[in-house]
Amino acid sequence: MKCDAKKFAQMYEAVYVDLYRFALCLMKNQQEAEDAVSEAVISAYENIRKLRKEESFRSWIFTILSNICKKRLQKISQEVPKERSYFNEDLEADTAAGDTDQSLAMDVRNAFFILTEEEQTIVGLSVIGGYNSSEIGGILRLNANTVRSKRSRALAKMECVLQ
Amino acid sequence: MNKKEQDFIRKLKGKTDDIKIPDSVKPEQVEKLLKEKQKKKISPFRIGALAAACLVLVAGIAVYKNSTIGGQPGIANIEEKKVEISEGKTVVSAADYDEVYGYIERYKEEQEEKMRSYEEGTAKSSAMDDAGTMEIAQEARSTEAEALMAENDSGATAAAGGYSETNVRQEGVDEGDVVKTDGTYLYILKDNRKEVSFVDIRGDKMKEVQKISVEEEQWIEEMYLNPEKKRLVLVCSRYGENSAVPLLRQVYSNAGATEAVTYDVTNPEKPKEMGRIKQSGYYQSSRMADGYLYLFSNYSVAWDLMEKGTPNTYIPLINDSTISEKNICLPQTGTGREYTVAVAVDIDKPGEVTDSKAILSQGGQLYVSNKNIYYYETIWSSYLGYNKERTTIRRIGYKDGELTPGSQGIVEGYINDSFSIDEYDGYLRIVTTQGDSNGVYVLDMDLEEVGKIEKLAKDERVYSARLMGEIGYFVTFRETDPLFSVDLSDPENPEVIGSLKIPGFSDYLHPYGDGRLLGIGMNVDEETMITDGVKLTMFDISDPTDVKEEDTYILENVYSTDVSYNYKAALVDVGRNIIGFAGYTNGGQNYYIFEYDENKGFICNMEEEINGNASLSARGVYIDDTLYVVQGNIVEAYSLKEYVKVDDIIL
Repeated sequence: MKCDAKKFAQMYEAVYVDLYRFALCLMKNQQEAEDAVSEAVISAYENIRKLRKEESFRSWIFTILSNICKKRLQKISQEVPKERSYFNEDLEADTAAGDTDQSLAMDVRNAFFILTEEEQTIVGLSVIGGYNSSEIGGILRLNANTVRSKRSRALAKMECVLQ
Repeated sequence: MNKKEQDFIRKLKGKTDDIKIPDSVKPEQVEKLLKEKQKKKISPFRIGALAAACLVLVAGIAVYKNSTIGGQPGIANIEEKKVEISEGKTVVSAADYDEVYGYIERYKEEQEEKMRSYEEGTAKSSAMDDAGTMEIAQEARSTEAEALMAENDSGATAAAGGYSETNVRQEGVDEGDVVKTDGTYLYILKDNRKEVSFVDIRGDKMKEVQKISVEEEQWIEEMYLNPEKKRLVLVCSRYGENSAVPLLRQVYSNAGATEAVTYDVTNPEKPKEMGRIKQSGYYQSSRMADGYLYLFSNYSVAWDLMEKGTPNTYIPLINDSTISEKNICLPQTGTGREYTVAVAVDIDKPGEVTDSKAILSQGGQLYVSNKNIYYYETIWSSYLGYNKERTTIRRIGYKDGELTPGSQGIVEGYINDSFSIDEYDGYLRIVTTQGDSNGVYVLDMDLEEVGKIEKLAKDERVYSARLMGEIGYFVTFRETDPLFSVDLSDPENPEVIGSLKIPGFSDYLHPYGDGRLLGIGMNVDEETMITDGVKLTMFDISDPTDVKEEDTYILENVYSTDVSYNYKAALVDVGRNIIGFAGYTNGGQNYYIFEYDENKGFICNMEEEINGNASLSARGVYIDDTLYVVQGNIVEAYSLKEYVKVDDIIL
C-alpha cells in the first residue's frame, strides 16, 4: 500500500501502546524496548509498500517487532556470560548500564526471564498482542499445535515464579 | 487454551496495563522521525549490508556441501545459492549419532552467523529482510490449518451406523479428537485436560458412569476410540521432569514427552489400562489405521545442553532409550533444529513400539494418506531470497505398524494446509502459493514432478483446497473468491478447466454428495473488504468446467467459526443431510444445524447457544436422532427431529 509519514503515524497510533508493552516484556529494559520499537517503525515504514491491506498493519508490525526483539535478545545473551544471564540483577547491570525500568513489575520481569526467547515471544503475542495460536503460528511460522504446547509449557513455568 | 491459562494470561495482561509509554515512541515523535528519514536516504549502506548477508548464507552452504562429501572447507560461490536443498531422491538415514550432531551443530552455527552479521552493523538489512519475509508470514495466516487439516476424498461420510465420527482428512485414517463415541457412550475430554468422562446416553438422562484421569505432570491432548477392539487411547503430553527448577531455561524444550495410554473399555464402567509408550517431544499429531496408532511428537534440540559424546542430549528417546541412528531420517537441507518423532503402536500390545523414526528438520507438517506419511517443510524465503519459498517433501510408507522411508522431492511455493496435498492413484498432487501466484504440481511416488500448472491467480493465495480424485478444486482470495477446478485425470497434463468468481472466501471445502461441494468460510464486503459473517456456499460441480454457486447462506453477526482452521469442528454427514458447526457471535457461541434442499437451498434447522467452558473447541456429535453439543464440561442434547433441547449434564 501507499503511505506517507502522516498516514503511517495514524495507523501506528492505534498500536503503539501494545507494541511498546510487548517490547518491554521481552527486552525488560526501557531503553532497549524504545530502540526495538523505533527499529520496527523504520523497518515497517521502509517496507510499507509490501503491505497489502491496512487491516493487516497490526499483525504485520508485530511480526517485524518480534523478529527485531529476537535478534536483539540473542545479541544480549551473547554479550552476557551465560551462567549469569538467567539472573536479572546481572543482566540489568550488563545492559544499558543499569538503566532499569520500574514500570514493568518485577515479578513479570522475572516470569519472562525464565522463558526461552521463543517462549517469551509466544507469551508476549498472546498477552499483549491478544493473538490466538493460529495467528501466532502465522507470525512466527510455527505450527499452531506447536504454539499451543509451547504456550502451555511457558505459562506453567511462569506460574511458578508469578505466584 | 484452558481456563486456567486464560486466567493467567488475563492476570499477566493486567500487570502490563499500567506500563507508561515513553515519549520517544509516541506517534508524534515517530511521524517526525519518519519525515527526517525521508529526507536522507541510506541506500549505499543497505546494499553493502545485503551483500554481507548473502555471503553469510553462502558460507553456511559451503560448509554443508563440503562436510557431506568429506572435503575441505571450500570457498563460497554465489551461484551455488540454490544448492541449499539436496537433490537426493531417497530419504537418507543417519550413519551415526555424530552425523546427526553435525546437522544440528550447523543449524546452530548458521543462527550464530546470522546474529554476528547483525552485530556487524547489518541491522538495517536484516530488519528489511524481516519485513520482506513477513509479508508471506502474514499471508500464511492460518497455519493452524496446516497442523490440523488432513483429508477425505469423497468426504461423503455416509451414515455408517447410527452415530457420527470425527471429521477426518483422509477417509480410512482416523484422527484423535476431544469427543468420541461408540453409539452408547460419549467419551469426553474435560476442559482441564486432566480427565476423560464416560457418559452413558441410554435412558432418559445422560449419566456420567466413569472417568479416568492422568498424572499431575501430564495433560491429555486427544483421544482415540476403537469400537471393534474396545480400546480407548489417550494421547498425553508430559512436562519436562526438571520443571521444578524454573531458572534452568532451555531444559524444558527437550525434556517434555508424549505418551499414549491404552485402555480396554470392554466394560466402560471398569476401564483397564493395557499399556503405555513414551517418546521425547511435545505432541504434534497422530493417526490410527488398521489397529495401529501412529504418534508424532515434536522434539526441539536444546543447543545449550547438547554434548557430542552424550547422545541423549540431542537424540530423542523412545521408551527411555535413544532411537537408533538408522531410524533417524536426515533433512534435505544441510541443517536441522528439531525432530518429528514418529512411533507406531499395535493397540493390542500397547506397551510396545512396533517401529519408530525420527525425522530431523527445521520444522514441518504432516499429511497422512492411506499408505504414506508425507512430511513437508517450507524452506522460507529468508533463506532463498524473497518470494522464492520452496517445500521439501519426504515420504515414509506405513503398513501394519511398520515405517519405511521412501522418496523425497521438492516443489516450488508453500502448502496452505494438508488439504492442498493429496495422494491419489499413485500420484501426489500439490497446490502451492509461490510469492504472488499459485501452482499445481503432480508428482509420482518417487516424488519426481510429472506435470504442473504455474502462475495461477496472480496476487492471490490459496485459502482452501479439496482434491477429489480426478478433479481438484481450490479457492484463492484477494478481493473475490475464485473457485478453480483442475482436471487431474492426466497426471502429466493437469489443466485448469474452470473458475468461478464470487465474493468472500471458503476456508473449508467438503464434498456434499453427487455433483456438490460445500464451502464454509467468510463473507467479505466488497467495498470495505471487511469480513461480515460466516458464509455457507453450495457449489454445483456436476460440470467441473462450469461450476456454479447453487446457494449461499450468510450468518450475519457470526464473526468466525472453528471450522475455518480445524476441520474436526465440522459435523458434515451427507447421508443424513446434516451440516453442523459452532459459530462465534458477540454474545458467545452458538451451534448451528443446517440441511440442504435441492430446491430451497440451505435450511437452518437449529441455532442454539452453547453453554460450557469455552477453553476447548465445541463439538457436535449425533447418536441416532439425538445431537450432543459438547463444550468442555457441559453436554447438551437436542432432538434432531424437533430440534429442541431434551437433556443436559454438567461433568
